[in-house]
Amino acid sequence: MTAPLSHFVLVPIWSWKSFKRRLTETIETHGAPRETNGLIIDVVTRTRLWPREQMDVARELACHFRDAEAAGQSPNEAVEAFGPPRLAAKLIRRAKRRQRGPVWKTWYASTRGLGIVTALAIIALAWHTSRVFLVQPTVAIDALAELNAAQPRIHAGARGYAPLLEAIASFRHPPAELIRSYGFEPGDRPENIRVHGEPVRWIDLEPGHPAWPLAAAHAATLTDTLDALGRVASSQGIGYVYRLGFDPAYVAAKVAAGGDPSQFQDPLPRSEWHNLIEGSVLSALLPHLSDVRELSLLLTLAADAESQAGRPDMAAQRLADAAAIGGHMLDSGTVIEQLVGLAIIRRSVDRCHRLLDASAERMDGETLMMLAHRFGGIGQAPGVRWRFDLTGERIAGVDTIQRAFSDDGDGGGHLTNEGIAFLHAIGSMNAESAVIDMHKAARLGRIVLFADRRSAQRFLERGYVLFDRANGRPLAELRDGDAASALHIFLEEAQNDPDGLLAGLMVPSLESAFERAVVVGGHRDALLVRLAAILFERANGWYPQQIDELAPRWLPRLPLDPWIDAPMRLRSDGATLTFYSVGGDLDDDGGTPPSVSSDAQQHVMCEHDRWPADGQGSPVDGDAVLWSGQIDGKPRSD
Amino acid sequence: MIKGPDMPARRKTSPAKLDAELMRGVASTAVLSLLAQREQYGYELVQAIAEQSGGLIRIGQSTVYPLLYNLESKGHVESVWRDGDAGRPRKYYRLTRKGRRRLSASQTQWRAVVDGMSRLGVLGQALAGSGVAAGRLR
Repeated sequence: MTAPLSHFVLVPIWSWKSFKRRLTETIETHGAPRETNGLIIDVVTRTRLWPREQMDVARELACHFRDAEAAGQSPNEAVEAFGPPRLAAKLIRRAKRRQRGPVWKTWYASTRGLGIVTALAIIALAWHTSRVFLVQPTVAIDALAELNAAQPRIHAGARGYAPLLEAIASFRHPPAELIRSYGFEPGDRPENIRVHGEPVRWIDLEPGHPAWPLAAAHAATLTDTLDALGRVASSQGIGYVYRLGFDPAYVAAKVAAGGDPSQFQDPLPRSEWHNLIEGSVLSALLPHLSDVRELSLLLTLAADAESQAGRPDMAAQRLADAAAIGGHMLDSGTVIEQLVGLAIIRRSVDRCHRLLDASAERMDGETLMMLAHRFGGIGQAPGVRWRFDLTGERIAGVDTIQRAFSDDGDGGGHLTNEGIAFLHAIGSMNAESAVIDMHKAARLGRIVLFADRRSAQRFLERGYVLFDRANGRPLAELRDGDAASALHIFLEEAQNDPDGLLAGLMVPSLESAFERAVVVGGHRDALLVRLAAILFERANGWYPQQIDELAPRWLPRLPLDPWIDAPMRLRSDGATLTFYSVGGDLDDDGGTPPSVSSDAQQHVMCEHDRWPADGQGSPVDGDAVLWSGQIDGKPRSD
Repeated sequence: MIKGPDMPARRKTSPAKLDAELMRGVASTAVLSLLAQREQYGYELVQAIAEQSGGLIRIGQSTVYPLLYNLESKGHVESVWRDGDAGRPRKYYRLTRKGRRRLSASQTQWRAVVDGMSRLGVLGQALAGSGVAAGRLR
């Protein structure tokens, strides 16, 4: 039985009085005693049935009370015997509905199901809403323990942290008197000199520069520092234990090196956002990053000095130490440390090529083997792609937020609602979404995160201004890999800004990091192949024609070409030895680089869309040459 | 008195609860049994059940109509508006073929229950195998 059309069309326009009047007329027509009219109407209207059904029930009840009267019951007795109208209406409504047709029953079941689903959704929404606005979960993540979980793999006695502190403590910039003759001005930073009016760091100088003798002479005085760095390099790892606040041993080393103790106050008042950032986040996230960078520069500078002084074996030792320290950084917990490690390795590889160019003939086989072993030990095996993740950054970020948004102001209380929102924002942090999510989070406070130039650029575009710490001028661009400096710049901005930054998170772009790792890995492989080729030539009297000839004696594992599933290529034409990847066109062009763009050398192992294309969008011909050098042209004897 | 389903049966005492559970289905069987004799209207059914059961079974006046509507929705009874003895219309209910089958099944079940309870001595020795209880219900 389906609902009559009148139910859906006419009922809304029937007035209640009209229906009630018709109901009363029907009841009276069927002979019910007047005293029972109220009960019948009460029961009928309580049923909330369709009008036609209500009318049918009213007629039957009217007959019922008429029959009761005919049987000798008074109207009042009949009303009393009938029972409570509410229960009667309820039972009648249920029974009458069972008589309705399948269409109505289907519709009814559907609406009930929909109603249940809606109710559940509302409950769930209310639960989540109440959780955000009412619940304050207890801080439960021991972020530092998580970050330090990998630490025990290096035995305490084999960690390089202690000699690193020694190196920091013994490291000295040249005294001002010494570099004044090169343009040092009062007020300049002691590590700088002025060349043509521009500040230049003495530790960045290279042979041939007018001020180079100053740098080489000063480096020669830092024997304690260099020896300590040698012990860091020969350790199994730096073994830094992440902590909140500054490590007292580190502070002591910095003070001994002439640092300002006021820069290392710890613990700092948590209620002051600036101090919170510097006191907690920096120490956890960037342990001595700038120190490690600077000391690695000292090693390469000292290597140049040794090479200039005619001691290539000592120079090789310094470069191997620098590369080993870079390898230790590559094993660290945060991406920013790993990126610094890559920068150190790349610089060491370049200087090693320069050393071989200048002094390979004067280096004995033992030294060459030492270089091959130590550079080959980075990343464990040639051709390994060094991968990154943001685990350390995520942990540090969570820790920062827990401390910045705990209701006791000291990180030991409950998370505030803002803290919950932040944790959600960084919960699924990855290279791209981290920036986007934190942009959302930035609405809650003045959260800033940055990493490489691209990320920093986005903040510039969003109205954030970066200031150069050295001269106070706004920065238009940040150098890749200089995120540590960028963080200091942001922090200085925070101190100048009354609102300040609530937190600063460093989230390097994974894409950028991966790209850099692969490129650095490729150049490291090129150095290994060159060393193997030199040793091969010394043993055989000629250079190899193919890379296969080097394995396994001279090259335990052939470096893989990331473009194809095959080893990298080595080509010798008798005068030149070329080590290359087939590049984005996937064809071996004999070691000829593409003519279109020299950038292909840098993007040797990147995505296809980074390889230069021709006018039709196809990859241009050419190979990605990682290293090419002159050989003496000695023919192969056989 | 055996209570019908309309009466507030939810007493806290255990025997009353048993009564209510025991009597579930009695009213519909009783109505079907009466309608098997002839077609009847609502008030008449209430009176007839009370009289013929000797007052042991009573169906509330407000309960009989939902009971009839339920039986009608199941196809056990059908209704028709017809003029009664006094010339006024009444709604009469009569048993359908499906209702007769249902009544027959209920009777069989009740006989089995009464026989079984008699053999167990629940109804007392005098009733054992006599069929008195079954006859009364019928």
